[in-house]
Amino acid sequence: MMISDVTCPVCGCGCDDIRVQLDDSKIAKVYGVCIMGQQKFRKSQSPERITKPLKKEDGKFVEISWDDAINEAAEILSKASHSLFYGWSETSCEAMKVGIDLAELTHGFIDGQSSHCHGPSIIGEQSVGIPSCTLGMVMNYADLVIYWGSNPIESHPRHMSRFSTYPRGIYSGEGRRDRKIVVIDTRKTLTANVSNLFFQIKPNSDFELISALRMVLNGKEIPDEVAGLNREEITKLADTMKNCGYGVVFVGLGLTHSKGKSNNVENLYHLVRRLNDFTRFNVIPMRGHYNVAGLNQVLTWRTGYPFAVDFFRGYPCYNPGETSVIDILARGEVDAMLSISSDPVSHFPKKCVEHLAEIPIISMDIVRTPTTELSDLVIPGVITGIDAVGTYYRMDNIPLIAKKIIEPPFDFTHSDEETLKKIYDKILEKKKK
Amino acid sequence: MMELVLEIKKIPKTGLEAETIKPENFVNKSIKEIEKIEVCSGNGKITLGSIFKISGKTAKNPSEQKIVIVGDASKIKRIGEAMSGGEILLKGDVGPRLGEFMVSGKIIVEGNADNWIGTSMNGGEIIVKGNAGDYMGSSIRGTNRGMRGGKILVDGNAGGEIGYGMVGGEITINGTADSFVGSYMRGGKIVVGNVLMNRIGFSMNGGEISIIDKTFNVPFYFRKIGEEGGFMQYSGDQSFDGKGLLKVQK
Repeated sequence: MMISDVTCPVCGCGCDDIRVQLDDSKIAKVYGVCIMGQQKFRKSQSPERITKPLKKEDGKFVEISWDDAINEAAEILSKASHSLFYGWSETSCEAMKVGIDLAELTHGFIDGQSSHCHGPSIIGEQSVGIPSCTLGMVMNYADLVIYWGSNPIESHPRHMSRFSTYPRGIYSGEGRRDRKIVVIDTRKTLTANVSNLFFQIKPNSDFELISALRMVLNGKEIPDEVAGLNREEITKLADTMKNCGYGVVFVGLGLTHSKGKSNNVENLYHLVRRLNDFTRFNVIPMRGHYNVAGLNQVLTWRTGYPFAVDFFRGYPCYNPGETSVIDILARGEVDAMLSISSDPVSHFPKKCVEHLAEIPIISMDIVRTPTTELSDLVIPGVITGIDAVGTYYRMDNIPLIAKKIIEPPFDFTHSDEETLKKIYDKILEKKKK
Repeated sequence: MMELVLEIKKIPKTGLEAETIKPENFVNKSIKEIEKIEVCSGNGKITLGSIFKISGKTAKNPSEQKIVIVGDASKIKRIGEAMSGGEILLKGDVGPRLGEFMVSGKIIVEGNADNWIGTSMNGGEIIVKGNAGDYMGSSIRGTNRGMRGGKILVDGNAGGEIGYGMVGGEITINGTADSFVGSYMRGGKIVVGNVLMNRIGFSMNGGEISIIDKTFNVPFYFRKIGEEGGFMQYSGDQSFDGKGLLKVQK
């Protein structure tokens, strides 16, 4: 049986044109998917999948029953005085909603990968505002596409072929030939190889280049060399931006995580705003995980803040730098963690992982990772988009429905939302006693 | 001035949020009453008596009250929030958000201070004898109106994003500050030894930044406008015709 229009649960592109061939209710073949998607669909069937709840006893994992696992999770979270709910970028918005309820119920702290990923872009959006559009508009209108500090060929493999470079849109009839691709990066990436213009800048000098571009647009003199580029190159780049019909900048982590962080992004948003005096110009952050934008959406809708929300007083508090996951772990201010579809132990700084090693961890994941190894309790995760239906947000904040293709390899839960709801109900029951 | 000494016994691992520690909350109270004042820790509340050994005297009005905190307070946040008089002396280090929205009075830190000191403060004085963290005298998240009045003095070095959105008051740093001093600044005055990466006055549209180090490399988005009193003067941020003033010692 062939299922068409399946939404891929990997990156922020949210490709919703995948076809999956089922054979005896197992995934046999996946068509039209990139190498990252292929791996994810394969992993869902892998023998490495966690299919039973595990509890650590004397340093070894033992299998426990589903009810015991839920009870144990509720016990850890209700005993803790400040628990951390971290992850969320690879689960559905419906599960996030229950996650926020859990954080509110236990007066805990909720944060996602965006805190140490595109957090600076969000802070920039809050202080300057973001002139933005959807990927569909990029496909139909854009004749100038700038990849700034991002390398989609390796991070979002179908981004160029679906939205920005190759497709034929309403006003970009000839596809690739009608578009100009500009890459600004510190090294010659694969994306730079297929671009029309490539500007190789010095590391950590994005801020200076953006200021120089703003000065050129303002008719001011700039020095002979800025950020490793000479005056002619910068003037050429500014002219290219000014004279396009519809331009878009895709911002990657190269900008948000080089020196200056949110200031780089704020400066870029100022530049794009200024460019709208001459032509139509937009900016879209290149979000990584498939639902990393979803946590920002759901949190904003439920609490008023996009990430790093602390409920320790019973109401939402927000102050990135103080209530963001890295800072809170480095200060050692949490005493339990629920990690959902994420692997903080592999990615966080040493000081944070040292603190994680001291506190009880519950992890919900599909396969074993360094985080599950450090956990006290492992609960099998469900893949939204393969094993369960759910909503998620693409990088341009467009909600998409992820289809259910096959049944999960266990029958005690059918979605992450259901698992979290059971933990929520259990904690509520314990509180009433 | 009446002196009340709070000696730290033990701070919970999850830290403290202690906006209740300020002179006006302690005046006209007995030691027993003060011991019952609550602060936030984790998802609950604990009393001051369980954290501090409290001794000394309380005054009749806030301007005569002095609070001395002995021990490492680096896990205590929001001390002296919106305080309207009196004095707080910290003998050791202190945690984030010290003297936020402060109106008047004086805070002295003998050790190092953390991030967010004197954010959005309106008046009063904060003196740090060690180093200070990021976002000193800046705005709180969600607004770009930073420090409005008062004075901050740091003897050591300071972190980044000092005086973000500052509209008034004065910051003096004797050491070096990290990058992005005086972003979105519209008023007030910052005097700083040197700034790392020469990133300064981003989107600055008023106010004054003075730099003592003669070797400071002025960023290209500031235009030279003259010299006065041993200082070279520059105007910026030129990327949008900003009217901030940057002074660099000759």
